[in-house]
Amino acid sequence: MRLTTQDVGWNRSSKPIIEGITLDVQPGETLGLIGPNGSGKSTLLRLMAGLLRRPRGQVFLDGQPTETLSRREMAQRIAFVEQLAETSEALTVRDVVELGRTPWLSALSPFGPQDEAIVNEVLDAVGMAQMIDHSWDTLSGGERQRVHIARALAQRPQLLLLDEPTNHLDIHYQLSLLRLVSTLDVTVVMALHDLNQAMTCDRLAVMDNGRLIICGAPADVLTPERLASVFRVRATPLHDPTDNSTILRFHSIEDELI
Amino acid sequence: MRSAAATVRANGETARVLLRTLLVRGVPAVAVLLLAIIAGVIIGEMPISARTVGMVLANNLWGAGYPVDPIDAGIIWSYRLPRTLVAAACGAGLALSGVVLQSLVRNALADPYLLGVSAGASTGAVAVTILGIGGGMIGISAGAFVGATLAFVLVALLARAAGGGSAQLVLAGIAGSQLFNALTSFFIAKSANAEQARGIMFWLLGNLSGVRWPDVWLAAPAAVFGLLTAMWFMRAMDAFTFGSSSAASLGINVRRVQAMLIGATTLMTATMVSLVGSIGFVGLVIPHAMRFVVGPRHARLIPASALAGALFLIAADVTSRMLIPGQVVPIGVVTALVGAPAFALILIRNRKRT
Ligand SMILES: Nc1ncnc2c1ncn2[C@@H]1O[C@H](COP(=O)(O)OP(=O)(O)O)[C@@H](O)[C@H]1O
Ligand SMILES: [Mg+2]
Repeated sequence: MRLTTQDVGWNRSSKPIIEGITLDVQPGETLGLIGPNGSGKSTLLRLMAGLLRRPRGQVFLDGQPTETLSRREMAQRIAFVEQLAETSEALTVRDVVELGRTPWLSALSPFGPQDEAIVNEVLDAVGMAQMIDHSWDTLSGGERQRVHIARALAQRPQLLLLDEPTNHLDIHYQLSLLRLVSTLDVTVVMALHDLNQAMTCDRLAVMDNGRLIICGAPADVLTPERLASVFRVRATPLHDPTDNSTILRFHSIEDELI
Repeated sequence: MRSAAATVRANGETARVLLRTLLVRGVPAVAVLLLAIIAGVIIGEMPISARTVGMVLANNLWGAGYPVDPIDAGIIWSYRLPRTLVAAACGAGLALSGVVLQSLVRNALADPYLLGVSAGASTGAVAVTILGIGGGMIGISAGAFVGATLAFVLVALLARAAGGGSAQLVLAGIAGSQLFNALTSFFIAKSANAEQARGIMFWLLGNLSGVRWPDVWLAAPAAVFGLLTAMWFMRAMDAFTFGSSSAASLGINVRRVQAMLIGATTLMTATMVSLVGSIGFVGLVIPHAMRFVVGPRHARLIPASALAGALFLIAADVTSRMLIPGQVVPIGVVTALVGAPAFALILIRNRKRT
């Protein structure tokens, strides 16, 4: 599914939080959203998901303006994994993932065998199948994150919005999540803070201070000048001969002034 | 995505599953409720045999024409039965209100009594009774509904202004309850004569003594309406588990669902309060207990809480009649005697979790 935002922005009590963002994400593409803390990544994702009141500009899904879609139709197309979604209810892993089927269910088509099959399949995909009956309050942060991702996948979305999905995950699951995301046949927009992980995206969009600075291929975007001006780091590119890739090693700019 | 044929097949399958669930769970639930109602009619200060009760019911329901003592018949049919039925309806309604509010505000301590909704309903009802706005039974219920809505809106706004946390909501509820209770006292002090005042004070504590058949025709539909509304929105209530923004991203029209559910809750609470006064803790304790028994999913939690609430209030009513010989203790006192310690337990448990 193609996602287009046209000059979108959002104010928090008349103070602009994000402003003038125009993006075009192709079907099947994985777009990484990077930028310092507070640069507006989460806000942009919430706006794309249609969760913000009175946004400026327009968001299109396959050319259709999202304001013409009902909440339910939105949820049948877009799944969103927020940062920090918590509960104190003693739900099981199964219960949480079943929530993902909500936009497809109604009084006339209640939860059925196919829904059950989807739930099992996505739990397998995130490696949580064996913990299906575990209670939410007994899960670690990383396990909760994986369950949230399974819940999002259970929505069978065409667009997946992920807000720092690798937070809380150990290195194994960070990599397996990124691989899972890249193999999915859906369009993905995800906020990331690890720039080396961001390098694995098809394209990167850099946010700073509520604005989109640039959007392009990782190598074109993560130039030394930009890393210095936006992220306030100096990077040394290192070569990894095992897969012929480049990784970045960072140094704080403040360190060098000493 | 589902193909049309698969949907039809799945629907046939789920229809069977639903029917089976209804038979396996629904029939025993109704049977238990009927037994409890009959027990509520049999047990009382003046002992009446189950046989007499059966005969009176048969006489009234299908004109069986058994010979029974007219005094027994009167006590059973005009006094104990409507009273027990209203207790069941109120218990179910208050427990349902608790389930709904706890889901919407994501706070285990939400309940119509703690959030000041009951106090608002009392104020509305008293305003109508004493100040003579409107009049008749429907008038009192309408007044209670206006009061309950006002109280809820006020408490919600106050909680939001205070920062929107769990503790803020409970504190706002306390402030709201105090305010509306003070208003009620003010109305009574200003306009009621001594006899009216005594009657109202007794009713405020929760009292089923004056309940007659017309009250049943108000309470029972309110409870059924609340049950159906809650069941209709059970998936939406599940979706609120991770907050309203998560519910929205799962396709729930948050505003609409909140408005419908809060409307239904205030309507139920207002109806119950206008009939029997404000009975505390049912909406808090019953859903909590039921979460232990059937888990947090609303497909089970809603019917289980409705049933348990009904049973609890029937038992509380019997207790209130039997506790002190020759005297009726307000039912709100009985529920508070059970509910306050349970509330303390919930508080302690909640602290451990967070
Ligand atoms: N609901 C809100 N209320 C007040 N400030 C907000 C709100 N949402 C976002 N902000 C502010 O907007 C800025 C961008 O936030 P956010 O989108 O969360 O950034 P990021 O995800 O890139 O760290 C921050 O300065 C944050 O404080
Ligand atoms: Mg963020």
